[in-house]
Amino acid sequence: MLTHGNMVANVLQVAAWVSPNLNDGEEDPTLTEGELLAHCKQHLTAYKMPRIVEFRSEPLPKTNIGKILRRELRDGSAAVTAQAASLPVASA
Amino acid sequence: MRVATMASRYRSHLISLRDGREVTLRAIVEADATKIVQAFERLSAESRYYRFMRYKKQLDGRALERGVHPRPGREFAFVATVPAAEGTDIVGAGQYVRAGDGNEKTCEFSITVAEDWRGGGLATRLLASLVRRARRDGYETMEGWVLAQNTPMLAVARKLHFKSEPVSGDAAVLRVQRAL
Repeated sequence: MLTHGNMVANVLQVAAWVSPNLNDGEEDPTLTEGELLAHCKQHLTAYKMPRIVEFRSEPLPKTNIGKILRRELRDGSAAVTAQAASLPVASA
Repeated sequence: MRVATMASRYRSHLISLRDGREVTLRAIVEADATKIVQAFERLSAESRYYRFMRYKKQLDGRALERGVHPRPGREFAFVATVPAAEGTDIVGAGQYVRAGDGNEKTCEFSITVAEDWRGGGLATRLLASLVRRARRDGYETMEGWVLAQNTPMLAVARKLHFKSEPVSGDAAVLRVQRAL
């Protein structure tokens, strides 16, 4: 899981990515949205809670030298998006 | 081996850092793979995040393989080494590869310096060496993606005449670039 937050024009953007990319051995493909949110709730204060949880099956987009490009993550639309229940949608 | 031959054309040499310490700067070779893994394991989570823009527990095997076999004339990687109990330790690395924007004349760089070896100008030396080498490879532009909070790297890039610009859709990252 990777989290990152930054303030832009009074909008707090928080993104968390989980990908079943087993090559790295870093991610858990069985993780569910509920488990993820429960984990966040336990460890994060309310305002840091993710507003949107999105699961993707494809590898994270990277530059040729291996850096993750978040703008492409954001632009991508292939993934199934699920909004966390009862939380207002901010931006992701 | 062809790779070894190409690598050996860059003569290994000793450079002095501002803090008085010395490191050897040379082209990467296949045998560095193990040392690269060890150097990665010594890096803090934050340093790994700055380099890969994600939290990374281990190096991807294929990426490592590619990294120690740069394609001659198109990619290059320098390592900075120091003597260690078992041979040498890698304390810094810099590389460039062809950028992914479809422009054959643009390359993308990355720099990593071990925490204990910062503040002596090593990143600047690595990037300056990459700039010279990329020019020889015929590239016209060098670019890099740097987290906006990574102010030491932004300062290094600025010193070497890179301009930074915002990245549309991602305020956390800046693109630095310069003509070669």
